[in-house]
Amino acid sequence: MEFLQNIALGSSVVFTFKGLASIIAGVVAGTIGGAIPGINATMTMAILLPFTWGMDPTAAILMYVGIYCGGQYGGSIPSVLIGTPGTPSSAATVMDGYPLHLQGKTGLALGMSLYASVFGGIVSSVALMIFAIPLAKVALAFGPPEYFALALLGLTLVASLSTDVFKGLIAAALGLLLATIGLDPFAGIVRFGFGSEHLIEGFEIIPFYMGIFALSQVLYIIFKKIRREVVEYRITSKYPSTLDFIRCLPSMLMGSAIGMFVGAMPGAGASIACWLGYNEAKRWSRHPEEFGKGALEGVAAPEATNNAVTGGAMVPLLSLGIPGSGSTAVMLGVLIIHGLRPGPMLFVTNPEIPYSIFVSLFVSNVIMIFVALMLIKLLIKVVNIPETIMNACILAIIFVGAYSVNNSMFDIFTVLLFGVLGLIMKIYDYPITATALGFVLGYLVETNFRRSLTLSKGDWSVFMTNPISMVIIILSILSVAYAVYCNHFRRKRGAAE
Amino acid sequence: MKKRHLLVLLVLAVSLACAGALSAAENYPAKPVVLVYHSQAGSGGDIFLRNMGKAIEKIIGQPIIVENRTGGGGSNAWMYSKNAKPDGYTLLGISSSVIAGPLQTKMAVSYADFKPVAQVFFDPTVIFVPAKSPFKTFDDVIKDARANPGKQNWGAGNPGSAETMCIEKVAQMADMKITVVPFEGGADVMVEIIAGRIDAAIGEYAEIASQVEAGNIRIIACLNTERMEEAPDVPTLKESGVDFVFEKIRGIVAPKDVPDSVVKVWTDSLAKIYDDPEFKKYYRENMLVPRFVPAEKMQKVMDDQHAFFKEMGKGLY
Repeated sequence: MEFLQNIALGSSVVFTFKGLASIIAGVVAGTIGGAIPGINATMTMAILLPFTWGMDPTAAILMYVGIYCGGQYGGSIPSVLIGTPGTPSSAATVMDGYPLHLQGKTGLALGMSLYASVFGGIVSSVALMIFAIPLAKVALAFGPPEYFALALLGLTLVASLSTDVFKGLIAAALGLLLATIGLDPFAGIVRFGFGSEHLIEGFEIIPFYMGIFALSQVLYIIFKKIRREVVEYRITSKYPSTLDFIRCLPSMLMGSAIGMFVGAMPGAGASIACWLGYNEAKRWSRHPEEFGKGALEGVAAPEATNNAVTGGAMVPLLSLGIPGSGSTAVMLGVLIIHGLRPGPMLFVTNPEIPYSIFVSLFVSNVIMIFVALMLIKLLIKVVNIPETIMNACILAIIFVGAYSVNNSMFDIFTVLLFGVLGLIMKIYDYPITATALGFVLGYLVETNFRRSLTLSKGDWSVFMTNPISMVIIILSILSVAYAVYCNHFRRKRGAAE
Repeated sequence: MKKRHLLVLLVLAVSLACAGALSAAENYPAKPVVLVYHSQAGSGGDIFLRNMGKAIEKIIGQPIIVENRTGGGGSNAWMYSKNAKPDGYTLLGISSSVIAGPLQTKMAVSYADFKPVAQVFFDPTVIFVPAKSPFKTFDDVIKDARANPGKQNWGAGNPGSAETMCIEKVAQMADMKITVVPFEGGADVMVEIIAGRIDAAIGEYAEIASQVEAGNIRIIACLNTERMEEAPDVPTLKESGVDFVFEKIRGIVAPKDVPDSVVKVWTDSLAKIYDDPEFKKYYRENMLVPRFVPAEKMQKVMDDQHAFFKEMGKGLY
C-alpha cells in the first residue's frame, strides 16, 4: 500500500508538463548525443550539467534519466549506418547491425534496435523498483564502517575492471587525491588550497566533470585526427514485423537479464554488458552461424542489454548512494549540486525523488519510441556532421556552460585543467571513470573512514568485527587480487607468444 | 517682477540640487531590490528568502529578486554584496554562517563589513538522543559523561559549524569529557541517532521534528532563551542547569554605506511580514521562530555571536 502511494507520488511528479518536458528534452539530447560517434551518454550529461543549475532537482534528475536511456539507444544508429559505434555500449551492435544495413535491411536493423532498447529499458525499470526499495530498507544497518567498505568496493571494482589493473588503481587514487583538496572535514583546515579562496571548498563537480569527461574527449578527437567519411543514407527497407519481434524475444529477455545484473555491479557498465549480451544470445541461438552476417537477434540482444543496464546501474546509486559508472556518477553530481545526497535517507526525506526516477525510467522508454521514430531522419544527418564543426560547437557549449554556473573564470580554468588531464589519461590508456569515481567517492571514503575510527576510539578492528563491512572489504580485496592475477597471467601469455 | 523671477529660480535651483540627494531615499524603492544569498537556489535558506521576499513585495511595492552567488565557502556572495553600490538595491540575506565562515577560513570579508538591517527569525537548536536512549533529561547525560569520560559519542556538523561549537561549549560548561564525531550535516546525524550508533547530538529542530513525531528521536533540551511553542514540554538548557543560549540568526544586512533612510524602510517593512497569511504558513511549517531585532540592536546580537564563535574556534583557526 505504501509502495502504491509512493508510486502515485512519483507519477504525480512525472506526469506534469514540467516532468514530461524534462524527460522528452533528456531523451532527445541523449539520443542525439549517443548518435554522434565519440560522444556517449556520460559526456552528454557532463555537457548539460550547467543547464540543470536553474532547474528544480526533480526536473533535473528526470532529464538525466531521459539522457541515460536515449544515449544507450542513440549509439546504435551509427553502429548500423556506418559500422562505427556511437558509444562504446553499442559496439556489439555493429557485428550484425552493419551487415544488415549493407544487405539493404537498414529499417529492419534500426527498428529492431529501437524496440529492443525500449524492451530492455522497461524490464529494467521494473527490476530497479524490485531491488532498490528492499536494499534501501536495510540501509539503517549501514553505519560509517559499512559505507567506507561500500565506497572502497566501488573504487576497487572500477579500478580493477580496466585493461591494466595498476593503471586503474593509479587513476582511482588520483581521483581520491583530488577529492582531498579543500576544507578538511574533520579538522576544518584548508588542504592543498595554496591560499586561493577558490579552492576553499575544493574543485567543484560541474567543471571537473565537464573537463574530464567532455573536454578531454573533444581534445582527443582533435589530437588523434579522427575522421569519418560522409555518406548519404536513406532508409529503404521496412521496419520489423511482430513476427520479427517475437523471434527476437528470447534474445531480448536474456540481454535484459544480463544488462540489469552487470549494470548493478559497480564498475562493469554498458560497454562490457553489451558484449556479454551478444555472446550469450549467440551461444543459445539455434542458428549461431548467422551471427556476424546480419542476424536480427545480434542487434536485439546487445541493444536490450545496454538499455537494461540503466535500471541496474541505478540500484546502488539510489539505494546506497554509490555510483558504479561514469553516467551514474554524473547523476550523483546532479543530486549533490541540488543539495540532495542519494542513499537510503532519500527514500524517507525526499521520496518524490527516487519514486519519480522509477516512474520516469519507464516513461522515458515509452517516450523514446516516439522520439526515435520522429528523429531518425534528423539523426542520420547528425551522424554526418563533420567533426570540425561538431567539435567547435561542443567546445563553445562547454565553456559557456562552465562559466555560467558561478560567473567565474576559475571554473573555465578548472575545465581546461581537467580536460588536459583527461586527454593525457586517454592517450596513455588510464581509465577516466576510475578518476571520476575516486573524486566523487573520495569524500565518502575519507569521512567514513575517519568517523569509524573516531567512534571506535582509534580501534582499527571496527572494519572487520562488523559483519557487513567485513564481507564487503573481503570482496574488495578479492576483486583487486583477482584482477592482479589476471593481469599477471595475461602478461605471461603475452611474453610466451 | 525681477525679484520674483529670482526667487523662482532660486527655489528651482535648490529643489533641483536636493532632488538628487533626496529622490533616492524618498522614492525608495523605485525599482526591484536584489537580495543576495550564499547558497544555491532551492536550498533551505534560499527558499526562506524567496518566501519572505513575496511577503515584503506586498509591503514595499517592488519585486524582490533573490540572487544566488554560491562558492568560495560563502565568500563569493559576501564579497559581491560588500562591494555592491550602496543604493539600497542590493542587500544581503544572512544566516549565522556569515559570522562563522570568515573566522574559519581566510576571507577578505567579515560580518563587520555590513550595516545591520534586522534579524527576523531564529532557527531553534536542540539537544536530542535516540528514543531508546536511557537519557531522559540533560542531567542524565551529564552524570553519564562524568562517570565514563570520553565514552559518549556526540554527532556534530563540520568543525566550523555552529552545532559543533555549541557541543564543545556545552561540554565545557557542564564539565563533561565527550567524543565529538563530525558529520556532513544534520540529516546524517539524524540517521546515526535513529540507528543508535551515537549517543547524543545538537541540531536544528526543523530537521528532526518529523522523526520526533514518529517516535524515533527524543529531544531533551533546547538552546533557546525560552521554550518552543511547538514543544512546550522540552526545557531550555538554562532550566536544565547550564547557562548557555544559542539562537541561529536569519536576517538582512546591507552594504556599509547604505543611507539610514533605506535601512529604516526595510526595518519598518520587515516588522510587518509576520502576519502575511501565506508567509505565516511557511514559517510555521518550517519551525522558524519569529525574533525581530531592529537594526540598532542587531549589531550587538552579531557581535555576541562572533565572540562565541571566536572563543570556541580558538584551536581551529
